[in-house]
Amino acid sequence: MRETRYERLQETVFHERLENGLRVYIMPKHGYRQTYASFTTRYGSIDSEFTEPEGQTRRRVPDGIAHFLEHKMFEEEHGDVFMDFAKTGAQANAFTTFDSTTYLFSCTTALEDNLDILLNFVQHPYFTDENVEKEKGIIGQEIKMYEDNPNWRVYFQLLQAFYGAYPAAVDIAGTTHSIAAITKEDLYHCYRTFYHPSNMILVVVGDVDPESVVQVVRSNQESKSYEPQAAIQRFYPPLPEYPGKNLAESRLAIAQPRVLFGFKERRVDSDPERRQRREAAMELWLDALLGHSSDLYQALIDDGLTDQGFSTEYELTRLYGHSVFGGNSKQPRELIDRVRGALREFARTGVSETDFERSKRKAIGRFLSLLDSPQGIANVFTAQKLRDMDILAALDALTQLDLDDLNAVLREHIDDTQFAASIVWPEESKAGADID
Amino acid sequence: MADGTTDWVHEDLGSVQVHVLPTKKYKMISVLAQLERPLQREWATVTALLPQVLLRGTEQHDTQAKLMRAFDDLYGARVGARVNKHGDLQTVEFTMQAPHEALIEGAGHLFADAIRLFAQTIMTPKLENGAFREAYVEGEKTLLQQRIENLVNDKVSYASERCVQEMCQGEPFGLSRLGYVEDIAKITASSLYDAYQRLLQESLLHIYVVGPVDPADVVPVLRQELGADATARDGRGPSAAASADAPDRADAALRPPGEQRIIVERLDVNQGKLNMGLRTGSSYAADDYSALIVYNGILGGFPHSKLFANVREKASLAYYASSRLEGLKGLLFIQSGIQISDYERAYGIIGEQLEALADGEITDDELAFTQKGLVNQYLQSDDQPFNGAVMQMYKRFTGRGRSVQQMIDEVRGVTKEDVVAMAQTVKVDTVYFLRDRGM
Repeated sequence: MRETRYERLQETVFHERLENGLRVYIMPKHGYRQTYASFTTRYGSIDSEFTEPEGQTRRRVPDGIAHFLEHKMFEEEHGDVFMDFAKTGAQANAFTTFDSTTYLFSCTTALEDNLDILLNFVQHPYFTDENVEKEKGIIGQEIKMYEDNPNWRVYFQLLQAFYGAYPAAVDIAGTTHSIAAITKEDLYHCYRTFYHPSNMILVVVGDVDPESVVQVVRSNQESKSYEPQAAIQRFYPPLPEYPGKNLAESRLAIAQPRVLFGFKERRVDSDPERRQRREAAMELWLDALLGHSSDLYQALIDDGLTDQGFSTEYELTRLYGHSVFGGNSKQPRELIDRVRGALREFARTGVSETDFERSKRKAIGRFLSLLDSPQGIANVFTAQKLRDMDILAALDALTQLDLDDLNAVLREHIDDTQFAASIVWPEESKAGADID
Repeated sequence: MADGTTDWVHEDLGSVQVHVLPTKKYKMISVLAQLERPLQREWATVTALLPQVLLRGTEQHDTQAKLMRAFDDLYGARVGARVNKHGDLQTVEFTMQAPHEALIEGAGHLFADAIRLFAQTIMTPKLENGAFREAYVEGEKTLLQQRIENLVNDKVSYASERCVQEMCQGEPFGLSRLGYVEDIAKITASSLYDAYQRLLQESLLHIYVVGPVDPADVVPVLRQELGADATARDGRGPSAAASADAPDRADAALRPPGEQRIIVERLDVNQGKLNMGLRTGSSYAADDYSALIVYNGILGGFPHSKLFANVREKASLAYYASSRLEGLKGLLFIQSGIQISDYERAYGIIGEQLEALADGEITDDELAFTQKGLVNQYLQSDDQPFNGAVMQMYKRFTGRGRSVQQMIDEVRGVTKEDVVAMAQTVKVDTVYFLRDRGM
């Protein structure tokens, strides 16, 4: 087992790649009662076309299948996996993102048993025609819940404007229509392709002895026979050069319009270190120019264009990237115009030295706060690893950032040809609820 | 302890009570400051407005941008302010997290500066003609109105909130923690300032500090920033204030027991939300509270619970189906998201689970899994910096102190008979269904 020490952070990560290819990372956190463990495959909603390593068949599978698979992994011949965790008192869960699926637990006792339960259920698929059909009702309700959620709606509507038919715009859970087509055979194809240990990462954070944790994992994995797997071929359509639409709109039963807008990246750098630096630069200028201590934010509040929920984010994956700004607004079009106008101006003038230094300090403090949450650090660590980046090195990227580089990133990003906006309006003429 | 945790250090500064828990476990130092008053309609809205206006600026940093920049300069010390509801109390809560200065080269006396700024935010607001600055108050009035109106947007929490309101109409707990749109207009800069003064007069200010910090570094700064005012206030104490104004328990029982009320509300929604409010015979202050916790756990607190197993897994009717406890009040709430046409079925299955519990249909596994799950939750709560603060608050509010270890011991001691006895006291009070407009 190797160890990487992060002196400034006073943290150490122990890591090992097992013979079957599984990567194991252990981060001891002294004094914590809970141990958080997550087991993640690099497989998410965007991976809907691929070649199965065995047999080399190219397949296109229904939208939403990675998430469907996540649900179905919890069922075994002997019943519901939640019951196995319940025996030890551990809390278990799972989630699917665009590019990953994570299974996790947090426990305060019986760590070894829980690790075995986690590894065993994720490495043992059990799908039947009946249990696949049954799940369609549950996931159908999950989809309906999100359909009613304005944050979700406005976000996916923006992704659809940015990316059109590109997989990043597809709802992670799919649609009631797309999941209706899923069969147990589809699930097995996906499982065999993406759940090989060489495509997976195990992360354990807590007050643990790294050597004994890796020993449990090693002996668990050695008891299973995995043949080496050829590289998975994934097929994605080319990243659209321009947004498919500049404005997407819809209506929901909400009180005030909700709006998001931003710029997509025209292309994405294949070098992870450069991506990490770009991420740091983007996050810093977004905070400096649009954060809650900025003059622009204050002016938007004073002029009644938005509220305290106004926020910004930047997402950069191996394949695509975009910025997102917005929140609630009674005048979404005016809000968009104001922010776009200001950003054009900022692209000319750049971020000031004072604002740059302040945002940098702030980013350092916020980064440190992440380390106090076992779950938070494990999730971000995993997401970054799958994108070939090390989150614990992000602090170095941040401190080394220089203002000229940041302003160059800012100028490049504010590109009107890459702009899109999404607005969810309140339903017309039906103000208020009816009470029977 | 190995993580360098000692124990709470309490410092009595008169109307300001400081509680410090030094621990090396965290990289951040977390601060929670809290004021409280009885939840009453005439004060709810003005109290809700207060924290946001205080964040608008201090004497020293007189605009919000300046104040936020001052916090940002301190390595992004994260400040927040909100109004909250704990049982029949409305609380005003300020939080701050600042990184431990030893981790950052050249950070200087970061925490002393941060806590000074934090104390100023609460105690020395920007004033104008002996009241809050009018422009700030008017701006925040508009934002509060929008925040209240926007509660409808998230249908899951909206349905929960509406169920509470319908069930507890006429009781303090039925009041909205954010107040009411129709009460906003009449608030002025000076009436808000009066309410602020009154809150400081009537409530102690409790400040909790948790993290890698030496009490000897914190207390002098707070004494300096807050000490002068401390003696000027009568410090009557929150519990006294609360009990003086608290309504009779008898007032609360507006309907004869056993009579269910069904509320159906229509909006343009895709998914129906079936929520229920139940009254129970126990609460945090009672000896048998742990039986209620276990009851709730078996009913709907976990993925192994009856609601999840039957409404979701067996019948495939819902993505979520669970229950939660309002411990201070001893109220229990069930929530589920279902297809609108499945209302009768879901209602029936939920009712069967309640009956099963009352009939003693509880397996050994259900009881054991629930107890283990609860113990796990209590132990994990110790990894939240504010957990100890919340337990101290509950002790003040109820007169009943329980440590994490006591909670664990009590839960472990609950028997099936205790749960069944508790089940006899649980009664559905209100059924709330949010559905589409349909026909």
